[in-house]
Amino acid sequence: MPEASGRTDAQVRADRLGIFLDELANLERQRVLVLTAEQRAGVESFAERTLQDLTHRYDVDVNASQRQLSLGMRIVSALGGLALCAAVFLFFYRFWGVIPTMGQVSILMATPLFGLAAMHFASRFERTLYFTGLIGLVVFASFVLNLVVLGQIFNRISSPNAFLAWGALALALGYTYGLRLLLAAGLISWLTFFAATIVSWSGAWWESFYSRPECMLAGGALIIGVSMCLHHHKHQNFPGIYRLVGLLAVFLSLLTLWFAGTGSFLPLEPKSVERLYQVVAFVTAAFTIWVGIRHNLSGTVNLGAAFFTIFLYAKFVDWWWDRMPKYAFFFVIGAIAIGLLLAFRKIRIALV
Amino acid sequence: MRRGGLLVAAAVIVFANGVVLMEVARNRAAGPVETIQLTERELPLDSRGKEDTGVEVHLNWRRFSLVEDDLSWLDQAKLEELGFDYTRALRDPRHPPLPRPAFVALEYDGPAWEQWLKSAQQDSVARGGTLQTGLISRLVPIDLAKTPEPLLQKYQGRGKYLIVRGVVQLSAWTFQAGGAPKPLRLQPNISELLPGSIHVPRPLSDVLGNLSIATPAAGPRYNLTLAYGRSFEPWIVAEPDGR
Repeated sequence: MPEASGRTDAQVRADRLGIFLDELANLERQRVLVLTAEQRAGVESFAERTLQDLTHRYDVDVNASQRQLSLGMRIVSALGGLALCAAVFLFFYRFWGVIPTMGQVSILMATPLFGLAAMHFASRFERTLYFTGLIGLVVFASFVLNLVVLGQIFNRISSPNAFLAWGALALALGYTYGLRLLLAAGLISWLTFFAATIVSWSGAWWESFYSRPECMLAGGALIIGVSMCLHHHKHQNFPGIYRLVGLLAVFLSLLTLWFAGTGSFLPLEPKSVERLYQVVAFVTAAFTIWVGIRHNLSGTVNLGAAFFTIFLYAKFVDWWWDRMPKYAFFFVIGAIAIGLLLAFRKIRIALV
Repeated sequence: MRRGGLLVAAAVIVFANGVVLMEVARNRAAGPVETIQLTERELPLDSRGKEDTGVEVHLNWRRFSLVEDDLSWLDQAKLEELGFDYTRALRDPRHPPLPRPAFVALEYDGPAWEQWLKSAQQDSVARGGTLQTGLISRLVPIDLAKTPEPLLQKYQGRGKYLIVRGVVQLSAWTFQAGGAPKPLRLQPNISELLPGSIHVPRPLSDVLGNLSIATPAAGPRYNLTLAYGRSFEPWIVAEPDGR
């Protein structure tokens, strides 16, 4: 059974080998390097053997068509998983009225447990884990349904603890099989639990946690911090998911506080809070871009740049929307976008 | 390695379900803390999707009032007891406090309902209309506290009072309906009673599930007895009694 990091490494090796063979052919065409027939046969035989071995052991993609098809399969797996989640919810609600309470409870508990068994079974017969990932999403949805409906059946008062349990299951499955979508689901669940618990500690009703974006902001920062402390040797693509979820939580919270200073814990005038967080938003976005460039994290750079642009445009709307004719406003925005492109181009050249 | 991860996942599922079921058992273990028989007026059917076969009712109370200062008993002292910083909320109205959980005492078909009815009828006559009282809930909030004990001690009439969990909001107002702008004041409001819906188990759901959602003008079609356990989570205990 291939481990997640093994498959990632194998794919990297197959990609490197493909690039090497392409470049070798190019060098031979340009007469920069000429191999003897024996040498070429040796290289080709080695490459073929290696790729066959990697394909056999890890099911790697060895050409562009396979890579595109794999991407398509990942998308289909995610969409299929989401569709099956909806099917599980709707199927249960369609029939639960005719099932006695004991039966309802048994079905609710057994469904995610059967799902786990199905995941284990599927993972033994596939190397790419598309079906395992799809079943994993269904298991997560079944467990969400399990606790939600159990609460409904016994008229329980809602609590944020359910998010703790959902997050624990999603993270356990995410780490066991290297599934990024479940990792993201787990982090979002724990982020919600964190924010709701802080709000309930303040004596307020936990469901109002979204009215205090600073809790989400702190949770997002914590997730980013955890991603920097944890070393993912086995799941090398997991830190990217941590950063994505954490940064999205931070930036969306800052965007909310940008417009709604009344939602802050700070004992300041709402306008002062908004101005403070506008400065924090710009500094955070610029710092994110800088860290992303420094550590060669393209996703982080892109996210930082996207939110820097959103913050910039939000500020322009604040300043100019009411004062300028609309055509002039959009002309200025377009001109600034061109200016930004030129600036980024200069930075890009400087980084070569 | 994978087997270990799966065992952890299975343990999470079993543990979470175990905790929920233990809390349900704990709520009902020593029998109900309070029981009350209510009609369809107070426990109307919840609307449900076409493909949803579950049946739920919700606790309907006199939420919107025609009577001015209907929640006048919910004064500064009570709000501060719940944890609201009343002075700060008044000083800084643009920074509204978050809603807070509370225990709410509801009176069923008592003096508070009669007073409300009288005022509502007067208002209705003044507007030239008639009030359809046969469909209105007679549960009226009369008190609240941070913990249930003082309310249980104070309101002991079996079947006349109901203590439930709820959520209280506090917002700032500078005007009121039908009147000129007034100085800034704080308006408390019971925004919801918990839980929002009450599940109707079988075989009761077989009977109620066949009824239409709209309450007929003729009056309520059923009575239900509601019990609350030590965690103040309710359950339905009696057969529906057709009317």
